[in-house]
Amino acid sequence: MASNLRYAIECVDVVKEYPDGTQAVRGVTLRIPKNTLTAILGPNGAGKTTLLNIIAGVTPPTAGNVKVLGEDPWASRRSRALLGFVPQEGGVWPKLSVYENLMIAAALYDIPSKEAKARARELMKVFGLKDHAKKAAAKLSGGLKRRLSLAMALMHDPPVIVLDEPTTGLDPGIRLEFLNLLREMIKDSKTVLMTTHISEDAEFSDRVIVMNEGLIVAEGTANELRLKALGAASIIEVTVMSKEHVSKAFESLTELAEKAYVAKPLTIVCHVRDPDEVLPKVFKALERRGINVKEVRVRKPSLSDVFLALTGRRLEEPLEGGG
Amino acid sequence: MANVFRIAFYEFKSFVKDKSAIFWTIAWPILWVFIVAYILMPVGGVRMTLNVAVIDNDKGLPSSNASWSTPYLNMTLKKNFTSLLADTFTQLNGSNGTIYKVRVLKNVCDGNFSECLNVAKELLTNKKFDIAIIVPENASKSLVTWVPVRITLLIKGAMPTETYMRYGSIMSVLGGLMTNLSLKRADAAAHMVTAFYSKFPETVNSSSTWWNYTNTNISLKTMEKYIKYFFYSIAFPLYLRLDTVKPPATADRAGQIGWISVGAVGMSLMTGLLTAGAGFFTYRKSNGVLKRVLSSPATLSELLAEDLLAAIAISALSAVVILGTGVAIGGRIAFNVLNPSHYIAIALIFVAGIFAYGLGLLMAPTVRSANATSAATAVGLMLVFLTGIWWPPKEMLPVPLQAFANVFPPACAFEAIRDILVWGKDFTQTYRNVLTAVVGTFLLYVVIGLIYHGRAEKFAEKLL
Repeated sequence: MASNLRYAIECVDVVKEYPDGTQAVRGVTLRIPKNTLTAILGPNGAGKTTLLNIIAGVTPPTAGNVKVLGEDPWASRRSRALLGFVPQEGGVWPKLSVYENLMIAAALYDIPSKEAKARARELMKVFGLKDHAKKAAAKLSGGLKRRLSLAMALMHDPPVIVLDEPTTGLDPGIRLEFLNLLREMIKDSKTVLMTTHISEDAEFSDRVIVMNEGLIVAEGTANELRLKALGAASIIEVTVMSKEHVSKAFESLTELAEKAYVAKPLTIVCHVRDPDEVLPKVFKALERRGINVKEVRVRKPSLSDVFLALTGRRLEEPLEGGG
Repeated sequence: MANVFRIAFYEFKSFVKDKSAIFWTIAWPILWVFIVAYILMPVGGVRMTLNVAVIDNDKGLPSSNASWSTPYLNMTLKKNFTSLLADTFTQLNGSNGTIYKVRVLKNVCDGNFSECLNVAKELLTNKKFDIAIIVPENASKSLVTWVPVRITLLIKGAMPTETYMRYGSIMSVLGGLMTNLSLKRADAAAHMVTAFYSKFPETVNSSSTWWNYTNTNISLKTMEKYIKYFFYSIAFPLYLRLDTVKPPATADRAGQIGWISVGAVGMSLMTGLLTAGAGFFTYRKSNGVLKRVLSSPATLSELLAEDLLAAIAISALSAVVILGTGVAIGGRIAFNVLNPSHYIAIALIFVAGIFAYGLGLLMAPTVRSANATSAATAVGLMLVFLTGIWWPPKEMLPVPLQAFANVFPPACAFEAIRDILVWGKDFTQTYRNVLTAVVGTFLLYVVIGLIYHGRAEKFAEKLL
């Protein structure tokens, strides 16, 4: 049945309301295609973790339906074996060794001991944990701990993996290595859904779902989102010398760009389709109005820019409430 | 620089909003103030209650013709020895801050002294009595035959100070009885002399001796002896044989070590497993394990069962290591594979461990941080100290705490374990404790079942 499905995860009108009336998730509908790496991008408090907890069977939804490969994890506990979950905190037993953690993860899914041992050895080899098999999880480095956590989620060989903020707190090099591991899993016919508040990590995924204040704001590939949110392929950032010049510069640049706004006290951000054509015009306009310019930068827009354009908030700003 | 005052304000606000932190840091110490003020130091000062057992073998006052002086003494004494003793307790009740609860036990040892002594020791060791008085068969007869009444007094006390306090208290009672008896004998003597005098001829012939008027068969030397005993008996109406009985915990070194070793197992289980139970959600929450478990097909009930099994395993390990150490340093902890009672004692260790874990489970939904679980350790410690699981022994606790210990399942379990493994009793001699422990633990889990049924996931979600 599952192999005929197009989507690995389907959420329809999912709501999560806490007893104090706070709505962490406010009617979310999303569909995650099979064999893709999808990132839910949003600031802390956007409702990403709560949504992931609902999908993973950790927290029940207040309303709405969740299906993982066509099965409702809230209707049958056995169906939870279709999914492997990597919590943000790691979900490892700190006092147990790497091998013991893998074995306890297998026990949660009732995998026979002999099969579990073989699987644990295999995963330790794949994830580079073999040399640390006897080491207590608490003594592992951040990167190794994250690998162990992922390996534990894979012990029962689930077709769907969900990871909550898997790269938070990792060094850039290790982060990249970990994201590559996730990409590798797609080749192994897995569907991966992860949450992140780091725009660079979301760039790694096939699809990005932008979430803010418990709602899905936009979804698509990173480039689709850039065009949809910014209407532009590039960004020109103009930083002026003094406050007095900000309004004059903004007036001049608005006429030339698809969209312009003041992002920092002295910086005007312009979304443009063709920077080669627009940039000379920008310089001319600024010169004509006698504006002293400190810096002009041309760059490809990040998903942070997309988020800012879509929500008017910076991705780095945590929201109050939510989860 | 950070706004230190604003940060401090929000830190304080966050503390005030944390109900469990408020409880453990404010309500809990206040609770202790109440415990100390109203249980350990009762209102109106400390009143000592002494439970006194009078093992009464007295055959009562003899008939009036038992001796020539009997009618006179019967007239002044009016009651037999045991009644006079009981009256003295009643008169002194409360006068020196002590309440004497006296129970007269008849026909418990057929007048055989060594048997009476064993009964008295048993009463002091295993029953609630603090003092036992053995009244001999001839107590009342001795009263009227002008000889001291020979009573045996046994006092229970774990510490010398406790023994001295009880000794002082009981001696005030016996001192009162002695004075009373002396006065009554003096009264009787006065009646006798008056009666004797009334029989005297108005003029005594110098050639006749005065004893011719009383008993001509008594020699002067014998009469002198009689008169001496007569006055002595007025001065010393009671002869005391004193013995002290220590509670089992302090009886002998091997027993002491055995007793303490069992107590140490209790301490270990009541702190370790209670804390483990209390941290059921919190420990798993802090490192994301709870989320991992909830996302798996395993249910929380399965997880609870798994944790309980782990608790039993911890109990076993703790018991083996601690009791083994106790035996190694000379403690008396007997285990005979052929004795079924010994298996019951071993099972009781698990019962106590399961109870401690269950008590922790009751706290678990309110324990919101790993630090808060240390409060569970404090509860466990309090319970081991206040129920005789650990030092001091139950016998040395104030009466309300003894009453609590008598129904607190782990305290009953450890008392039964000590009875069987240290003091060599069998199941039938300590079955009340065994039953209390087992039934109490069962009831606790019924309560846990009622609380957790359909709510376990909600408790977990609240703590996520």
